[in-house]
Amino acid sequence: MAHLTDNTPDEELMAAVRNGDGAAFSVLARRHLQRVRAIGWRLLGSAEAADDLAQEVFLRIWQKPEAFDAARGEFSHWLARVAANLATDRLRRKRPEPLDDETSAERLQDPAPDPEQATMKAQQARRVQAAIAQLPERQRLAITLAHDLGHSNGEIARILETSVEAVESLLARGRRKLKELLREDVRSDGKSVARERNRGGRA
Amino acid sequence: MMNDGTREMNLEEFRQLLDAHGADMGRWPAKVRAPAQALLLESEEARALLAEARALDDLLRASAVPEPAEDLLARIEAVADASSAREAPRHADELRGAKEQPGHEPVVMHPAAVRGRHARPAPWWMAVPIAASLLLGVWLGLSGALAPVEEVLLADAGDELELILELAAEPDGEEL
Repeated sequence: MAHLTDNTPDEELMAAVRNGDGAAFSVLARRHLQRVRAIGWRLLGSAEAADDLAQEVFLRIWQKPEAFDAARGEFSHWLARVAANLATDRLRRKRPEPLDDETSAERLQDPAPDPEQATMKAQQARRVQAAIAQLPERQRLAITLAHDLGHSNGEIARILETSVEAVESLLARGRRKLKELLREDVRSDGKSVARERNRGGRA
Repeated sequence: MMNDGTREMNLEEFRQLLDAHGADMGRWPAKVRAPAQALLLESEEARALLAEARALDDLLRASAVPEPAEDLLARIEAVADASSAREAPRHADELRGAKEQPGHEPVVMHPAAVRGRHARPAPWWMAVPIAASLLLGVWLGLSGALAPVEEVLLADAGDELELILELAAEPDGEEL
C-alpha cells in the first residue's frame, strides 16, 4: 500500500495485511492494541494476561488475515469477538489470575503529582476490577464492551452474536451487581467515596 | 399521558433503563428520553438513581486498562518484521474453517497434522499391532481386570467437571 496513514480504514489495512504488508499491520496493532488489552484486562484480571492476549490476537491476525471477511461486518467488531473468544478460552483453561498482582498495581499507578492520591486511585481501580471479576463471563464482557470500548448495545449484540434484548439484560444484571459490590464507592447520593477522600486528602 | 403525547415513565422503568443503558442518556432509545427527562424534573428519587449510575460510570472509567508493557508493541511488530517467514498461500479448508470460528481456530497447524493430510496410505501390516491392542482391550474389559470406565474418566476429569459445575451454576447459562 502506497500511503498508509492513521486515517486509513481498518478494512483497507486488512486488505494490505493479506498481502503481507507489515506497515499496515503495525498501524492496525497500534490502533487497536488497547481495545484488545481492555478485553484481556477485564476478563483475565491482570496486565500481563492482557499483554499476552494482545500478542496472541495480533499474531493470529498476521498469520491468518483471511479469517476476517469485510462483507460480514466491521473489523473492530470482528477483532473484539476474536479477542473475547480467545480470552474466554484462556479463562476456561485457567482460573483468573490473582488481583493483587503487583505489576498490574504498579501499572495502574497514575502519574499524578500527589503520590497519596495516585495510591488511592490505584486501590479504587483494584476494587472495581475485583468487583468486575465476580461477574459471570458474559456480563463482564458486555460491561467491558460498553464501558471500556464504548460500543452501543446494538454493536455489542453483533459482537456477541446475540440479540439487543439479551445484551440489555446482561448489562442490567452486570450494573446492578456492580452497584451492590461497590456500594462503599458508589453511594446513593451519587458521590464516589474515593472522590471525597481525595478531596479531603488535598484539604 | 404527557402534554407532548408521550407516555409517562415511572421510577421502576427509569431504573431499568439506567441499568440497561447506563447513565449517559445519549445512549438511550430516543423515544424514552423525553419521558425520562420529565421524570427527572419531578422526582428526587429519579435524580438520585441517575447520580448513582453516573458514579458507577465514573468508577469504571477511572479503572481503565493499565498501560501495556513497554516492549509489547515492539514484540507484536516484530512478528510482522519477520514477514519473510510467513507461509502463503494457505490451505483453502483452513481458511474456510477460520472464517466460521474466529478466535477458536488453530492458526499454526502442528507439522504432524499437516503431514497427516497429505500422507500416503499406510501399508496393511501396520494395522496388526493396532488390532492386537484392540483385542487386548476387549479381553481386559470383559474380564473385569480394570476399574470401571466411569471412575477412571471422572478421576481424570476432576478439574474439568468442577469447572463445568461452576459454569452451570452461573445464572446466565449463556455461551459465547
